[in-house]
Amino acid sequence: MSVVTIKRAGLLSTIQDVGRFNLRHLGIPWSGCLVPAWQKIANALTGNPHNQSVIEIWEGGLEIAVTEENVRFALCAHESVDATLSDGSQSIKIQPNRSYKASAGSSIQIKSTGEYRHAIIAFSGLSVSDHLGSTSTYSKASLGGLKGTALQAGDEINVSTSDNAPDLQCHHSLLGTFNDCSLRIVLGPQEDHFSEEGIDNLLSGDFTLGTDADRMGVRLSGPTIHHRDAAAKDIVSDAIVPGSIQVPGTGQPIVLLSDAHTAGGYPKVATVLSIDQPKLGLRRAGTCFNFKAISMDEAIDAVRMQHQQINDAIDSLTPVVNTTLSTTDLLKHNLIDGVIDGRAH
Amino acid sequence: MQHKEDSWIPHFAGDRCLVLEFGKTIDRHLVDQVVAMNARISAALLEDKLDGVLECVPTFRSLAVIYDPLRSHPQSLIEELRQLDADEVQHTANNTSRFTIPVHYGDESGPDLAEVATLTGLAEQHVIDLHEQTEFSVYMLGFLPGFAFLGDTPKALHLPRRTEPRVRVPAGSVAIAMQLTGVYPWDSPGGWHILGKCPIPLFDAQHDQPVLFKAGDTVKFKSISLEEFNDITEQKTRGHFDRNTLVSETECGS
Repeated sequence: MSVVTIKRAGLLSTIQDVGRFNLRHLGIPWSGCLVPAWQKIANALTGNPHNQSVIEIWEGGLEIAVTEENVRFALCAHESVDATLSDGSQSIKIQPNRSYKASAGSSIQIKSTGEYRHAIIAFSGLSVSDHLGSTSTYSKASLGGLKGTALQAGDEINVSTSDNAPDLQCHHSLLGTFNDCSLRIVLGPQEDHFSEEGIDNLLSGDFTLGTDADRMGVRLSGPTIHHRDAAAKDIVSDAIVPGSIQVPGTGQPIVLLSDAHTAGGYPKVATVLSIDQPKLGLRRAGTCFNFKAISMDEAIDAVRMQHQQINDAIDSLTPVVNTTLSTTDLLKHNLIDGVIDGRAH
Repeated sequence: MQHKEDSWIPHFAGDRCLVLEFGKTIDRHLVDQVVAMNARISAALLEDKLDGVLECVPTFRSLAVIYDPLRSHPQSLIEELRQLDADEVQHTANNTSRFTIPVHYGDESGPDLAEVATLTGLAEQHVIDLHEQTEFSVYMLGFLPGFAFLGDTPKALHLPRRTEPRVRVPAGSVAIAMQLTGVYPWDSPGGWHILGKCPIPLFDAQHDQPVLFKAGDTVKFKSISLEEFNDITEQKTRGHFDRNTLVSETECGS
């Protein structure tokens, strides 16, 4: 057993797992990682079961000290992530989608999550007590995490001591799929509350991600998604799930994400596919999205296909070949032999 | 599409949720149908039927059925759920409870009592009597974790929401709006008219059953004095308050 200590918590770093289920009927959201595929891959890279708790990092500023024994970790993030692993004598840049061993006394810093708004870091054997069946942090109801809140400086988290297994990396194309700005939707449950023009606008317009965006949901702005009439702007409260596209009286959509509340009174024109929801949480304000309606059969096929891709990605993890050359290595070779003029080809 | 008696219309809500819509209004009869269907599904799950169904979310007028898209397809799920309607279900998990919830009405606990009396043309005590004498059904939970929508209030108490919602309604506030009443489990913004305050937390994150009520339960309110309110608050602070004293009866539904 080892321990890691949060030195700086950053903007918002929370413990998340797959989510807190079977409590939506009491008004308790699922929560859980915004990018479930990352959670599974980061856990596979560190030798964890897929559903192990991880740390979700918003924007950056997180610094973690490895205090006792060597530990193993992996970061899933955009390639532009700015993260380092320092052990006092040297500092290396952490590449996303591969695992590392960090020795006791070293420090992991995620300075910036880069082009994406968040990233996740998994530690081998990260262990936090369950709270109503999940470790996912939902601070509005003081649930999950270490004390029902986001991580704070000084928090200590139990992890395993690293084994000697080789570092692993993931190169699967699945990791690039969040860059695409097309959101597949299934119309309903209240598409009949909208006019034909409203639905046309939803399906043909460009929708720009606004600054109001968090784990609960995001606001988008674009052409008006017109309601059928004034009376169609409200409904008697009906269930909401992550992905629900609520359209209030303004005609501008709100898409709910992992911390989505459980019921609400705005009509919902459509639902974003579960596997496309991560795109909305990851991208920054100003990003332009399009909605594409697909059939339920296509939706189910797409979800099953991504599940298969995640399994393939996990099955195809490869050991990292050490490409860093030491001075001793370099001195063994006559690297400049034959070079007369650096400008010559 | 028209809703027939005791029937539902399926609506897709993405790749993980199917909504069974029983109607479009707030109506005790619809809530009863939703609660009954929820019980039929729970019973079927206990019998290992409905593979892939994960959880259900009852609302005023619909039941959301959450399923695992890797194991279930909503089209076949609709057929299986229709079959449940036809089946004679012997055992249901429809165990409903009756609760009596203490409320200190008026004063600082119920800052809107005087205004509600003015708006409804009733005496303050009459407002309290009407609220206290009604047996409410838990229609649904939502809006906030543990917030229970209870109905119906007597017609004389029906009021629209406040024109200016409060930024902070204190936890425990007992309030009314439209034909509904509820107890705020958390400090939160809110637009309902606050009649009083309940000293017992209706959401307790440390409890293995964090929320006291579930859809279908019955709730009555009981007026208590400020002294009684303070007594319960003190017992609660010391950890001596037993929530079970609020349950008067548990019924196993059929």
